[in-house]
Amino acid sequence: MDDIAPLEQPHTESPDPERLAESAHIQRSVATAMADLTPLERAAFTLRHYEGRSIAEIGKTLGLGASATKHSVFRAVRKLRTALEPLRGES
Amino acid sequence: MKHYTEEDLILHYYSERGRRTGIDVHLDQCETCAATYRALTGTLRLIATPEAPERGDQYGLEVWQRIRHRLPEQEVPWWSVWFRADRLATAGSFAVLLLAAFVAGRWWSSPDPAVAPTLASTKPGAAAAVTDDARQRILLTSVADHFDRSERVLTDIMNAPAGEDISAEQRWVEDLVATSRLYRQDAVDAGEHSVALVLDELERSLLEIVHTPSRVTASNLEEIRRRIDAASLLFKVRVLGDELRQRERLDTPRPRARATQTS
Repeated sequence: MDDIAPLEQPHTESPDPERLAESAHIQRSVATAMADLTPLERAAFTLRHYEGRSIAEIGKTLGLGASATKHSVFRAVRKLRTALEPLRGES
Repeated sequence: MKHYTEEDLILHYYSERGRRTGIDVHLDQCETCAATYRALTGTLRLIATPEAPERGDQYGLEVWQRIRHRLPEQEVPWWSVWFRADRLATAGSFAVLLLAAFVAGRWWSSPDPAVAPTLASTKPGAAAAVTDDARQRILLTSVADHFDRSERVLTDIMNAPAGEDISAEQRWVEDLVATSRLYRQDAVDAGEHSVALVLDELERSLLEIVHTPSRVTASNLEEIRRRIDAASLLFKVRVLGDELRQRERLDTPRPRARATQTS
């Protein structure tokens, strides 16, 4: 038995199925949480988070002042945190 | 110790707050704020930026289909109705047909509109009859002109004083004699016997004038006048010339049987 070398796992670049399933689950949850946002919150968050626009640019795009823009982003982040908090514990 | 709010930490995460160094120092010292910030960043990192899908070949069409019903109706100018593709095609077809009709009309020579529909379409050989009639009309017109010229030269010679040189008139008469022979033959061929008869008499009188001496004497002139008067040549030439002119004006071929009665 001592002569038997341990079996080497083949090296692969692609993620394992569990990881893929978890990733898909997270994407679905994010999509659901995003769908629950109001259109203004969704637009403000998308411009800030995905497109990296500044608060000033977002306000100009949406026709809002700086304070209203910030609060739209804050509300969106708060809602998303509430919706996605369980996932953070799982991951 | 002052703690930062969630809003401050969100702005810090997105690098919107200028006091970055101050917050970082605070997060190193304050476990409460650091835990809040870790929870915040942990959640936001779950929301990864999705990869933009490759645009398909139909992307432009799909976008257009999505937005086209939202576009306002554009008012088009009234004259642009005439430039619609279907109307342009119709107008082009008419133009081509018109051009084809024009070319066809030029290609096939049209028959005489007054005669062809009645004669050429009813009888075989009608085209030949039309040609004969046309030839006869041309002959009558030419003979009428010939009679006019002959009348003038005969009148000149009959009124010429004795001893005058009529060589110029004789040269003119020579031409008339040659022409008269041709017309007489054509008149015979065309069945215009009365015309041929007058042309024959005219030819003889003209020949007599040609063979008269150039310096005409009184007796020569008397002989010519007597011959012309005896045959009533000037009268016949004038009457027949007028009749031919009249037939020419009416533009209706005279029946040959009636033509033979004129003399």
